Amino acid sequence: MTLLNSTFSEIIKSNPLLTKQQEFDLSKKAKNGDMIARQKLVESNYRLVISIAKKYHRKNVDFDDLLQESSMGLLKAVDRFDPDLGHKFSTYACWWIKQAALQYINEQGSDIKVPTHSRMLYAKIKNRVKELEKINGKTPSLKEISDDIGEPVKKIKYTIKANKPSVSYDNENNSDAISMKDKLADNSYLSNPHDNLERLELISLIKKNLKLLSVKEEKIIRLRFGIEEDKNDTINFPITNDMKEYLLNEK
Amino acid sequence: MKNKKYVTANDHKGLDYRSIAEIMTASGDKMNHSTVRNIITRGFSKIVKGMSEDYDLKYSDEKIKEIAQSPEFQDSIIQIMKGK
Repeated sequence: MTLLNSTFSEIIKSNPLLTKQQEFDLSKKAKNGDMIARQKLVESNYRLVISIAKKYHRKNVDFDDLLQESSMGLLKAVDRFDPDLGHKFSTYACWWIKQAALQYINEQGSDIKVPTHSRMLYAKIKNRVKELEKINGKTPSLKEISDDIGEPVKKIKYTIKANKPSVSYDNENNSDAISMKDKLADNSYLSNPHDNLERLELISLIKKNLKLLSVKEEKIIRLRFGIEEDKNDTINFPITNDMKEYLLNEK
Repeated sequence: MKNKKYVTANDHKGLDYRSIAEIMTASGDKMNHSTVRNIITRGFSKIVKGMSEDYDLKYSDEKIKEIAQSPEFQDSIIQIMKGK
């Protein structure tokens, strides 16, 4: 049990459930600015916060944080509750607590922020798809889902699209993903000295064998592949008028 | 270079066989475009032969010609000649 959890438990123990009359009185006083009455009303309803937070707790959401966020919903409910309407406080507060909890989960659950209403609709669509699959033995079409839920096809379509789970590009469990370490592979000669040594040896061998070429062969290969000639060797590589023209056109 | 059969002059901003033949003829070595092509193949074949001897490999003349004409081999030699 965490520190926050135990604090909540102590508060709950020392604050038994309120009767409807007590709730009414405390709400009236809180509305008139009585901070002690406000605190009493809050502390007496922490039970509700824990119960809702437990219901919405997910693997990827920290429970203490969820409790804190749900408590914010309770505070909002205390400030907005109108005792004169005759409703029970818990009936009113549970919606604010749920809203705060869901909003927090929505913000934490994914890397991409999707509006809470969209996420709720997506959950509804998913549940209905499962049910319809069970009944009909096949995946329902968008039109069927739309008719069943009572929302336009376009909305169903973009809700599904917007709520698709994101997959990390760097996730090593994802076979399609390319990890960043692969993308940023060190291809420099320092990364593999042995390969580099072999490469240098091969280059020196090729350079040695390049000397086997006659002057004519070397000149033709250089012309053919646009390899710059040795400018100091004017005997073997005189610049012809054609070549000059070609080089000028290139520029 | 993938799936390519030849290294072309355009790959390396070089000249075509005919232009080379004209340049060589103008500078005193009379030749036509086919001779230019044959000289290039012969040049690369010399390098392949020299290297195969360095590695104690005995290749047939056909094999040497095949390697000499391969775009991968020609491209590597060109890169080295360019000093890259």
